[in-house]
Amino acid sequence: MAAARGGSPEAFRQLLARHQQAVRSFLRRVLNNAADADDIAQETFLAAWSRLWRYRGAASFRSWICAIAWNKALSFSRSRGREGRRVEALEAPPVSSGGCTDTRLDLERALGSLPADQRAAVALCLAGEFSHAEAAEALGLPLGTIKSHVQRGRAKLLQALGGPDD
Amino acid sequence: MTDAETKLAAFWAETEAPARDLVFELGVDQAIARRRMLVDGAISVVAVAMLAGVLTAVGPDLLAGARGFVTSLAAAGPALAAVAAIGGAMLWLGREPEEA
Repeated sequence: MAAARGGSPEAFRQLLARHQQAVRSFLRRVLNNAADADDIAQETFLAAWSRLWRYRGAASFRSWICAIAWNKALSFSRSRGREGRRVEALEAPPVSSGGCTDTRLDLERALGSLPADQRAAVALCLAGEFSHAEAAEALGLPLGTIKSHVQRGRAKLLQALGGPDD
Repeated sequence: MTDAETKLAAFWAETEAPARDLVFELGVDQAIARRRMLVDGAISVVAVAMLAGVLTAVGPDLLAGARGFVTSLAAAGPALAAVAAIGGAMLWLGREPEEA
């Protein structure tokens, strides 16, 4: 980390390799579009590179970089909204190249119907295995809010699958 | 784990990005290189502009100072030549006698 902050390209490359999966997966689930997610992820790492001197190690690096990703995703959503297109448009291409089953569509629809903060909390904690504290750092929300977002989001997703919504 | 939970876990697995993606990493690398080039270029332009500004501001004074120094050297020239000649003569007169 110190080497990357000192401007070492090799050290930053290692950070990129270690954290790209978490950032891209988070953005894919939040934006529901792999291509947009990768574009935003690239912008995220570029911003992280230029702001690395600001990272003081108070939060985990993945929380810090996901916070940048989340802000960029929000800006992207707003700009898309201004263009009259909804980010959570379900006609967007599928996230992965896998086949689109009914279950998958149901889940994409259910995830897309969650409020943005709730979707992000679910994407981080349920899918990305972030702790609630890490998600709170990344999303800039109180810990209690994250916990309730995750609980409600999970219930809605399970409900969409016809399971118990406990 | 219920059936719904299994499906949810499968959905998360499907939407997971690959653990390594050299194309993505290379893309970020190139974007950073481009940004670094832009930043370096901007720094060079600013440095050159500042240097030009400083030279424009203090250049005439520097030239005038240099001219004055050269003029003062020209005035002291004969005195310096005389000192050099006397020093040379003293060295020659005070030399060790050559051995026969």
